[in-house]
Amino acid sequence: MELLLIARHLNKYFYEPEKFQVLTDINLEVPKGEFVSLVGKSGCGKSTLLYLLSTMDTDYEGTVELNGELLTGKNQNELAKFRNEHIGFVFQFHFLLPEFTVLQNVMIPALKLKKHSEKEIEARALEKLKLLGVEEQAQKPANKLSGGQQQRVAIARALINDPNIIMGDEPTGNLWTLIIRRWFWTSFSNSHATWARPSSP
Amino acid sequence: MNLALRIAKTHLLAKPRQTIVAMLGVTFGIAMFITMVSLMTGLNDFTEELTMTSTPDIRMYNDVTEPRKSILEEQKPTGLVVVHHPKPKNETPKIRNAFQIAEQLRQDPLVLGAAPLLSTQVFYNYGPVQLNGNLAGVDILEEDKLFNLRQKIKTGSLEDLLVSTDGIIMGAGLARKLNMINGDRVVITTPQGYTMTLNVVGTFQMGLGTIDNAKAYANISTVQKILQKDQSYVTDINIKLRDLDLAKPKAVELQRLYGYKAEDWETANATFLTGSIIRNILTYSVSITLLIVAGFGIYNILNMTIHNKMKDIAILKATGFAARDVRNVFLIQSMAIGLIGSVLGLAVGLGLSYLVSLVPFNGGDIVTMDTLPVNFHLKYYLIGLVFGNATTAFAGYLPSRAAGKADPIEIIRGQ
Repeated sequence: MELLLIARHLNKYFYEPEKFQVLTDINLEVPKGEFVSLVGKSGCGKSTLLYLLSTMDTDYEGTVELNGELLTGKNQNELAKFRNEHIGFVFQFHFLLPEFTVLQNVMIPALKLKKHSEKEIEARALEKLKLLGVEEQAQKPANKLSGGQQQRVAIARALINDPNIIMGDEPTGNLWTLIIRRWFWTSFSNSHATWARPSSP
Repeated sequence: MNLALRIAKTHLLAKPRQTIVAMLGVTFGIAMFITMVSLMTGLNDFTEELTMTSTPDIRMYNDVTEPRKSILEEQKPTGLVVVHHPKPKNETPKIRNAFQIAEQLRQDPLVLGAAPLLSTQVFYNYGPVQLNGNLAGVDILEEDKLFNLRQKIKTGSLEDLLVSTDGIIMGAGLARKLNMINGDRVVITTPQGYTMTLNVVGTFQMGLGTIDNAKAYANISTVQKILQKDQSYVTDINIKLRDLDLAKPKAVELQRLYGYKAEDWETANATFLTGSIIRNILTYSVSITLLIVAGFGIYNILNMTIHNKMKDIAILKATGFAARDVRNVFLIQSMAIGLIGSVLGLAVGLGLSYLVSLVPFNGGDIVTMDTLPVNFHLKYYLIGLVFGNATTAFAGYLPSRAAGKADPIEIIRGQ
């Protein structure tokens, strides 16, 4: 099976308030199409590992390879571009831009990527919103939605650029069970997507 | 539309009150700058114009008070010689061959006009009262070329002076003091004690009290007659140049060439020029202070905005915005505040300076003006625009760059 994410010998230290090794020699391989959950007690480094794998944290030892591309050593601008195109994010808190409408929130990463025309992006964004059952809210300001609705919009945003991998940091922290199931189902139906989801037991 | 621009616009419109307050800071600064600069440069231009109407670009005269070498010093150049309190020699302030010099000067491509004249102190007798003043014997048409006299004439005309042998054109203030109108006769006395009666044929007003209250023009031959001097007696040559700024070097050259003292207008009007410089310094220092205060206002507001938008910055970076993109979002906001604020400021400044130009102002005896002089030169509006935008760009750059460098992990962890 083709490997999508390969991490080799990851070591990570925290320096504040004192030097502390949080990750020790982590090796991880995730094949394409796989659903992976990271489980562990609080403070064991699940989120930290996710930040390394997601390229947002570059201060580590070891190598991270995603989609056949070595990400370790790239500069911040290259990594930002890579995240935009290949990685979808869902955070524990919904993190929408409050001044923009729901539709605009979903469209922004695609507008940044500029792979499609704006009309196409809008159609695709509406399609993703429909997939998550929040298409009626498309024209509302993001801060007028309930927590659960906002989280679904955040998921639609993670899907907009058809990423190779979607990473979630306890994304279902405040979601209704039925929605979780439906959402898992939709994500699995997207054959390219892979989930990395750390969660506390 | 550019994505950073679109996000910036949404941010600005989402908090209209904060945006307007930031803009008003710039608007106020620029408006005050425009108003001050308009008034100050208006005053400068006004005084400069006044001085230019009363002083020639270069005045050449025989300076008999100039310190000279004593005979002893000439005889013993190497020895130690002390001559206590030497006084000027009794010589006439005449310029030799003045008419030939003037003719020669007119051939010079740099010179627009050269007018020989004969100037003397006189007393104007008004019943038992004697008023001090001076009388210039001129070729009135040459003088007109230099000082545009025709426009300054209040009553009578230049030609009336030409055709009369004992005519005089007086400053308006002087005529008022002497209670004279055209056709009246005035008795003048020279310091040498000669007395003559002249016929008032006109009055002029330069707008400067020191001139209008003391000066009078007569034909050069009339004044020669009063002073009992010959036909070639001339004390000054007034020279007008094509380029005003060449006066200083040209004066030095003429002094060396003809051996007479040549004084340029800058030296003659040093006090006026000092006033201009001080006004300029004041204007720019006050304006820059205002703009710096506005800049700090923008810096504060932008810092606050960025602090409130930390979550958004984390999201933008996580979804693929580079540091430069995030920086641009906030930089565009401050630039927009700067641009709209300064354009508004220019408009308010134009309105204010127009109002100032309507304020009645009585210059009294010193200068003739009805309202404050205000300059509406485009140049200062451009300076204001550049100033306003540069300040806001600079004030916005620092917090924007910090926003671009913010670490999304730290922000997300902080939740």
